[in-house]
Amino acid sequence: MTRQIYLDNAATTPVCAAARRALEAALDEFGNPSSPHGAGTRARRMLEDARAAVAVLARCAPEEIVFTATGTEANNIALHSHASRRRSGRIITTESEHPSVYEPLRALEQSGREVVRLSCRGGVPDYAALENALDGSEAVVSVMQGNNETGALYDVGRIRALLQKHRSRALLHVDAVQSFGKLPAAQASVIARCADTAAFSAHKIGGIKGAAALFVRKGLTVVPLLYGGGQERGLRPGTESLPAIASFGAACADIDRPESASALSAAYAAVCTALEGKAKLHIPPQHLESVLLLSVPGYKSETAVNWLAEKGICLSASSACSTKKKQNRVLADFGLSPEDAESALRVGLSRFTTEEEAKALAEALEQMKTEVRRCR
Amino acid sequence: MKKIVLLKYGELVLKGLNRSYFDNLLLRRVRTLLRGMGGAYETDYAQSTLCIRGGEGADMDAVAARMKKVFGVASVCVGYECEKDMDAIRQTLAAHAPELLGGATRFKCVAKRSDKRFPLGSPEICADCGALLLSLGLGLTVDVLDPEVCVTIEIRDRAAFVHGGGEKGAGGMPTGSNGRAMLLLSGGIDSPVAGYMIAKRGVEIDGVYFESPPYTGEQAREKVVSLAQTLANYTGRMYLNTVSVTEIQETLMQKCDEKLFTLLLRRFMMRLAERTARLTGSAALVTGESVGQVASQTMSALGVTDEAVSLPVFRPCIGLDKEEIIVRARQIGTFDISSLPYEDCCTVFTPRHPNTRPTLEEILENESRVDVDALAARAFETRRTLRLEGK
Repeated sequence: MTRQIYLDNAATTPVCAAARRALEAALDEFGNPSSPHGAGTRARRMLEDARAAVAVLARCAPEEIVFTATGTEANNIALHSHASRRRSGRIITTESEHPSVYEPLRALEQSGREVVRLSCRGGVPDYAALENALDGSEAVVSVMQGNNETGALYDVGRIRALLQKHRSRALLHVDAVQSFGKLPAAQASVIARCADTAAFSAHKIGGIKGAAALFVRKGLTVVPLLYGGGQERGLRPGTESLPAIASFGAACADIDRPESASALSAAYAAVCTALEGKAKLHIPPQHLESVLLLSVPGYKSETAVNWLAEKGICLSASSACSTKKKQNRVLADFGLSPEDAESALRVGLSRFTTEEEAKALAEALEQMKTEVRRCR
Repeated sequence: MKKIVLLKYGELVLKGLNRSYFDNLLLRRVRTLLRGMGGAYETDYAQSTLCIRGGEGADMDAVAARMKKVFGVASVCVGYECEKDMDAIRQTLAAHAPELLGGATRFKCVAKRSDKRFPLGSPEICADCGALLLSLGLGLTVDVLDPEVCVTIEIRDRAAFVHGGGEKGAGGMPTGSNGRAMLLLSGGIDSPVAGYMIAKRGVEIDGVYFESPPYTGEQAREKVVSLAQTLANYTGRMYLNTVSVTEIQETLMQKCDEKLFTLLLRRFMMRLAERTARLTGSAALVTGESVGQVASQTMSALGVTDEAVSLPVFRPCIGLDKEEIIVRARQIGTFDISSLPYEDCCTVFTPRHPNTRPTLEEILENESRVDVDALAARAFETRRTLRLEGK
């Protein structure tokens, strides 16, 4: 069995050709971007070109992009900073955030901050509860734009509008790691217009692992987590990983083409059509086209993932079906029935996913049902 | 004076005329381990003590740490070898007192004299050395009733050894001295502990792991390989057999009573383990069962499980509480690995209400609904073996 159908793009993505070329070029440009001589200057130029490319995709100014190593780091810097600059005051977030947001906020809660978690049943944040929580005492709002497990798209524009309506002074951070580069052109500038800070990551869009970015709205002061040699305007010191950052810039340029959006949409439509009647699709009213949550009732997630892996198809299980593991927080909040949660699978699509791959997945699921025993 | 490691032999000293068989096994194991470590070493055996001397590039502390995992060794002492006279001994003590005491302040001296022609008797040696240690100004006090360290001076035939009393070794009997057994290894906490306890008695252990793809995955298998590797690090080598019971499980689910499912599967596992055991020359099976821990481990269930095989089944954990098993698992280093949360085949199709008092009649009746021999034979054909060398 030699084929490999990769459908776990929400976890990470293959390195795209442009990113690979940029990476190789950057390996030759080994200078430290902070050095004052030729090697350093060339490296510096490459770094700034990459920054400009990321900024173009984010529809913001280059000065508003701070490079970090991971999306987790970007989330942590933002939340740590916002919580320090607004020393007291409630923090509003959702029940379905990624651990890199959920955990820092849990830590803050344990040290005494009030944290309100909005439910996102069916993939829709409880905007009414959000409004209720805006009573002037709120300090920070942290909401993801695209959910990595359910594919739900949360309306950042609407959240900003609510904050403005209530004249809130709260800082708004958006974890845009799953949505960056994957929204239709019309929505591409939402983050830059509405968020105070946001997190993006290279390896979710075809770049290599090890580069990510924190968007910091012009004029906003950010308290750093690390102190050191002053790189990235002091917000994230440490010698920059030019190869990773260069690949990030190239991946941004590559994905920022109209063909990318239409290819992704086509892939999403193909998968939904192929799986029609063969699996239970959980599609929220507003959703990403890069993440599809589905259930195959009667077949435990882990079993299905193992079986598909044997057949060369990679996707991930969105559940915790063993009695030893805790319930999946995000799926529980989404409102999946226990039977659906136990058999939940996540398909991660990219602009490179083909219709053939979608059909192969559907066929494989059908074959699985004939070969594998149903659970009770 | 030279830094040395002394291995004090354990229970094997009780052996009679066949004593050299055990000694040789232990010596071979120690030498194999030393060959795998960087540096030159020499071994010298006398009076139930193996002395390891280091040459070029030797790391005696690393040697001592490694020797703590060798079965047959009661204690491991890091110390110094010097000439057999009091001046040399005093010099050695003075030079290395802080290291020998390891931060302790309450000590007593212990002297062992195998050369009875040595001018001082044991009490005089202790008094002399004790006085010297007190004079070093290290803030030490003598406490013969509750010492933290027993500074030990051994007067041997050709040299003297000075050490801090040593640390407990793994105990037991040298690996290879007591035959082979086949361990039914799962990813749980109990079976690795059971394997260790039998291996400790000098038995060479091989393992058999039952997987159920696609219900169980790669990660569950890797967890078991990790556990087997941990055991191999004590015994030197382990063969891990993997057998697929997917067809058996699916057939049982189709044809048999749900309540008896786990027991029926366990009987198949025992049969397959026995077949593997006979093929590899193992004379017994080993499992991690403990009375009453789970439904398949009640008295009647254990009886029913045993009936499927004729090899003796060793269950060293049979009388241990879960807590006691966990303590041992932590000591041998398997607890953290066992705690990783991957499905094993026993948990995938667990009956909601298992029968805790099965009778052999019910079991045999259920087994008559399937072709036991054919299922076992086909499952046995899926057997793959992995050789793990101890590190």
